[in-house]
Amino acid sequence: MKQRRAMTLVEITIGFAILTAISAFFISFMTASSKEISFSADHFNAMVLSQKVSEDLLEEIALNPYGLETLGIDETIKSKHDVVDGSSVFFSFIEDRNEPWGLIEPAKDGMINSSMQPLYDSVKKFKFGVSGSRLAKTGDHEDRNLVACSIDFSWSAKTGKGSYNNSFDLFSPVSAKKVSLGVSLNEAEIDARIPAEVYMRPAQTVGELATAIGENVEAILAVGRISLISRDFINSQFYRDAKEKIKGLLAKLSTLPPEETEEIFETRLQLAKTWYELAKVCFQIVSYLEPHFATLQLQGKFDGSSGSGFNPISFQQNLMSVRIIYEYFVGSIVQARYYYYLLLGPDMVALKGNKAQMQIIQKLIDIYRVTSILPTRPQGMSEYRSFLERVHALSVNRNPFLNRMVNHELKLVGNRKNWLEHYPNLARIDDMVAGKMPGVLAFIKARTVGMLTN
Amino acid sequence: MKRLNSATTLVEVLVVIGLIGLIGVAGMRFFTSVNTSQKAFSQQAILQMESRKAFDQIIDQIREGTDVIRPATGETLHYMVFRDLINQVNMLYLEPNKEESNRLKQRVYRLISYCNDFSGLYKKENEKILHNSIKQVRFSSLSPSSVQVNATVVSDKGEYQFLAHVGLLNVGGIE
Repeated sequence: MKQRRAMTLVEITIGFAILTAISAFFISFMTASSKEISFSADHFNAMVLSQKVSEDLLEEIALNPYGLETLGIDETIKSKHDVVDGSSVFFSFIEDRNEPWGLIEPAKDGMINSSMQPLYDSVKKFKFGVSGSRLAKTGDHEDRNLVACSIDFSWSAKTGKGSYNNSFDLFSPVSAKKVSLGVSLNEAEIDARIPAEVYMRPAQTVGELATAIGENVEAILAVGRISLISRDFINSQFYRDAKEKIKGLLAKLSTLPPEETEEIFETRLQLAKTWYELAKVCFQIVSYLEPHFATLQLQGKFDGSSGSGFNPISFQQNLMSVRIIYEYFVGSIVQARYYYYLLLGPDMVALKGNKAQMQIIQKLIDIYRVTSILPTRPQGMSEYRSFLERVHALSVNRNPFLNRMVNHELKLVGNRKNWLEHYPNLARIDDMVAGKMPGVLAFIKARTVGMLTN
Repeated sequence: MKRLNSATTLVEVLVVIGLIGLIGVAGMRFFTSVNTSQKAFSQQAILQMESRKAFDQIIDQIREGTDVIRPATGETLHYMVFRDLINQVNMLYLEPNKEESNRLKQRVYRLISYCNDFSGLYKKENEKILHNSIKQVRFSSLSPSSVQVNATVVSDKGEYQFLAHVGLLNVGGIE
């Protein structure tokens, strides 16, 4: 008969060991789950924070093509910053939590500090660095306008070390536009008109004309194009329409009551755009004609005599037209600046909002840059500096992107050569207005002195 | 020598009972803690999921905008007003959620997105609930074309606070 007995110590010990093994399995499973969930939370946080940094970079670059350089970002991550306690500029303008209201102060309310819970505790272990390098470091290659960016987050995790990387390319144009400064014209059509309309020899071609009057084709084309293009523009529908439009808009503006803010804004904007368009076309014409003046100067034409076949009287009139076109460019760009500036009035900004204000500021910065390099406007640079100072005052502790851009620009304008190297499109305009046009204007002045004094 | 068959002694019985008791208590505690941890983990996972949902919905909504009307640049507000592509005014704001507040035993809000169409009338269909239990939300503007969102999402087992910088559509303005 089978005997009934209690469990022995050995049996119980085995049972205990089995239970322990099962428990150990469960504990390891739970620990892994816990680590996984914790890691997933950290990873999500890193992703959200990285997204914020990338949006900041986009904003920076949109305003300032040298935004990354301004932030001290280059191709390597030299040191990593904490997310919290104002360690990094990216997390120093979070929100306005203290007086003075309406200003975000990086050292006070701007940072993520321990009062911001539970965010502070969940992100205080994060460190990050940003790197960025242009795909082409020098030269005029299109790749110079692309910056490869990388944002690296790291943190101490239960699993050892967590990391998250976000890499992307930013468009940051710093090379010159691949377009001609001169107006695009049908040269063959213009050249065909030269014998008849400039030299009164309708039966001849330019080649035959050159033989007949003993001049070279290049000089004939230069005189012909200067004459026809300047004459055509002064008599053009565009020029007449622009002047008429400006006259009409000014008359309308003078009759608008102050409470008609919408109409005043639109009229001023139309005036600014019309003056700007006129300035642009005048500059393009002058830029197109400048090499033709260079040809005549190089060949010494009109230095002593007017040349065997040229008509000095009509040519002098055409030279005056070129001078008028250039002066229209200078005058129109200043007028455009004035009317764009009027759109920054408080009533105008209240009506159209901050985005329109920002676009007008950006447009004005472009225009001020041009007016500050005009040799005929020596006060242009001090006007630009004064404008930048006003934008600086507007942006401080409100718009850190604009603030950094203005600070960067104020530093650059202190060194004209360096400033122009940073903006190759502006350097091309500078080469035209400050480099070449004074010679052209002196040439025109010398050849039209009779017209000016009589 | 023949081994004597005998009953277990009192000491042996006490040792066995003691061990079984010990294992039983340890086992019960272990399974209770496993159960609690599992609940906590799943709630954390739900909180994360909810937070991601709230984050994505807020961002998607703001990205439809073209111009930030409020907050003004440099300002922080508990609501946001922006204009969209077809010039409709949209608002993001909080309204109390009593049911969730009672259930969670703390004050929480619904985050509402309202698109004001051209009729000028309130229409239920223009209202969208982006999230049901938000503890706080703050919108800060650092430029007219983007906004920073600081929001705290609440669930049964905790809070999650996130910070997002959202760029609006790059259209509109004076040109």
